[in-house]
Amino acid sequence: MILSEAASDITQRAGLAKIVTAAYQGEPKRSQVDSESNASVAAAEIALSRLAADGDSEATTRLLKLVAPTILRSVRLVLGARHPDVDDIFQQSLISLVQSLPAFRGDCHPAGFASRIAIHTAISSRRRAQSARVHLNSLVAISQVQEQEGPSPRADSMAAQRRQLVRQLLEQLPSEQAETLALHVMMGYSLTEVALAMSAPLNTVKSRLRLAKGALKRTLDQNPSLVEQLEVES
Amino acid sequence: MTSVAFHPDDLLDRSRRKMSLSAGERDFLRAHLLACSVCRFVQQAASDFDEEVPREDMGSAIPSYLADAIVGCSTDGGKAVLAGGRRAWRVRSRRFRGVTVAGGILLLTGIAAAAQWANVFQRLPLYRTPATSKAEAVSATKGHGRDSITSDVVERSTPMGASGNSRSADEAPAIPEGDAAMVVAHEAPVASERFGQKSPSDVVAIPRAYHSQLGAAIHTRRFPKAPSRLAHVVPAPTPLAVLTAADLFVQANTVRRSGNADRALDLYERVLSEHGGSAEAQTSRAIVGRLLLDRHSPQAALRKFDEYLAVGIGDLSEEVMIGRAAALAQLDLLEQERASWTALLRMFPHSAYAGQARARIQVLTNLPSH
Repeated sequence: MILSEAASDITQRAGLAKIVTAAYQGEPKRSQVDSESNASVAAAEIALSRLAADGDSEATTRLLKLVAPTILRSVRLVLGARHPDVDDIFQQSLISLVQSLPAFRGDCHPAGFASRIAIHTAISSRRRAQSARVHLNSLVAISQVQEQEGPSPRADSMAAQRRQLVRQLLEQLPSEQAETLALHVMMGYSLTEVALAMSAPLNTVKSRLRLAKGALKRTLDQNPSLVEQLEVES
Repeated sequence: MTSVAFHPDDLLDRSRRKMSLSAGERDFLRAHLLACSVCRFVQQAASDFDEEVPREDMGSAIPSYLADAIVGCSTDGGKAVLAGGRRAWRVRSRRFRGVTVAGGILLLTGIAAAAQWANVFQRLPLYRTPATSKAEAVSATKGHGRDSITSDVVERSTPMGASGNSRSADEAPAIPEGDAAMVVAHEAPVASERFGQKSPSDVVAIPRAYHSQLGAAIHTRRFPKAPSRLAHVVPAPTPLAVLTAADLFVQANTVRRSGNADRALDLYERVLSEHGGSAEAQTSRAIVGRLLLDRHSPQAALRKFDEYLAVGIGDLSEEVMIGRAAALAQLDLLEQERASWTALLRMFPHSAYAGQARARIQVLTNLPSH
C-alpha cells in the first residue's frame, strides 16, 4: 500500500502524467522535461500498472485516467475522428486494457501498451464491421471533410482519401504488420518505441514495417490516379 | 533489387521528428523520396493523421464514474456490461472461454474413444469373416509350401459358391492352386490390412483371365465382406517423418554452436536443397557463406552471398555485403572488393563497419593500379 501511495503521489505531482505521455509520444517538448524526473515518473507509472494488475482498484482507476487520452487518440486515428463507434471501441479498449494488465511486463510505458491494445481493438472492430456500413461511413467522412473550411477542399479530400486508404490497408494486413503500421504512421511512435510497445525486437519491427510498405505499394499500384495526384503534390 | 525496395526508415523517422540529419543523409533521403512513392505517401499520410487528431488534442481524461464502471466490470466476472461492446465482452468472458476449452477436450476425448472402439470392434470374432481368416491363413502359412494353403482354400470356397451362386461347385472353373489363394486373399483387403499385413492387392494380383471366369459372384457374394464403414478407420501407413525448414534450421544452428561446422554445413545445405524458397533457406545462405569464408573457401562463400543478395534486401544484407567484400579480398579481386565496400556504404551509411569500409576503400584507391 505504501508503494501505491508513493506511485499516486508521483503521478499526481504537477500533472506529470501528461508530460510523460507527451514525452512518450516523442514531441519536441521532450527536451524540456528533465530526464531524471522523466525516468522516475515512468518507473512510478510502471509500478502503478503492476499494482493495477494485482487487482488494486484504486491503482486501476488512476491508470485508466492516465492512459485514456492516448487510447482515445489511437481509436480515433484507426476508426476516424467522426466514426460513430469511437465511444464504444474506446470503452472496449479500456476493458481490454484492464484484462490484459497481468500480461504487461513493464518493458515500456503503460501508454505504449495501452496504445497497442487500443489499436488492436479498433482494427478488430473495423474487420468485423459490415463492408456496406464501412463504405457508408467513409462517404460521410469524406463529405464532411469537404464541407469544412480549410486551405483547399481538394487537399482535404486528398488527405481523407489517403487516411482512408491506410485504414483499409489495416483491415487487410496481418495483425502484427497492421499494428506496427498504425503505431508508427498514425501514432507517430519511433521504431524503437514501437518495438518496446509490441515487445518485439527492433529488426522484427523493421521487417514488419517493410512488409506493410510492400502491401501499401501493391495497393498504390492498383490505384494509379491517387499516385498521380501524389506526384503533383510532391 | 532496386533502391526503392530499401526504405531508410531510421532516416525517415528522424526527419519526421525534426532531428538533425547530416548533409549526406539529407541528400540520400531526398533522393529516396523522389524515387519512392510509398515513402512519400506514408510521409503525407502521417501528417494527415496528425492534422486529423493532433497530438496536443489528447482528449480529456475519462470521468471517474466510467473508470469505476470499467474497474467494476473487470472484477465482477463480466456481469456489468457497458453500453458498447457487449458481444465482444461476452466472447472474452472467462466463463465462455472455460466452456469452449471444456467442450474441445470432450470432443477430442470422444474422437479418441471412437477410434479406440473401432479398433476393438474389428478384432471381435463375430466380425472376423472367413475371408479375413483366409487372409490370415495365407499370411501365416506363407513359406510353408503352397499345396497346403491352396487345398484349404478351394475346399472352403466351394460350398459358399454353391449357396450363393447359380453355378455349382463342380461347374466352377478349375483354378490353379496358387491362383485360388490369390483370389481369396484379394477378397478381404480391408481385413488383411487391418491386421497389419501388406495389402493383398499389393502382394498378388488376380490374373485377368481367371477374373473374368470367376465372375462377379466370387468377389461380391461368396464371402461377407468386412463392414465397409470401418474401412476409413484403418490407419494409413505411417509416412516417413519429414523435417520442416524450421526444424532443420534449428538443428543446424544447434550443431553449429556445438562447433561441428561440417555437420552444420550439411544441415544448412539440406535446408537449401529441400526448402529453397523458405525464409530459413535465405538465412542459411548467409550463414553458409560465412562458414565457408571462415574455412577459406572464398569462391564458394561468394556464390552463397550472391545468392542471398539476388533474392533481395533482407535482415542480414549488411553482414552479407561485408562477407562478400571479405571474400573478394581473399580472392584478390580488388576492384570488385572496392565496389562492394562502396555499395555497402551507400546502402548502410550508418553501418558499424562504415569506418572500416572507408579505410579499405582509401587503401584500394591508393593502390598503384589506380
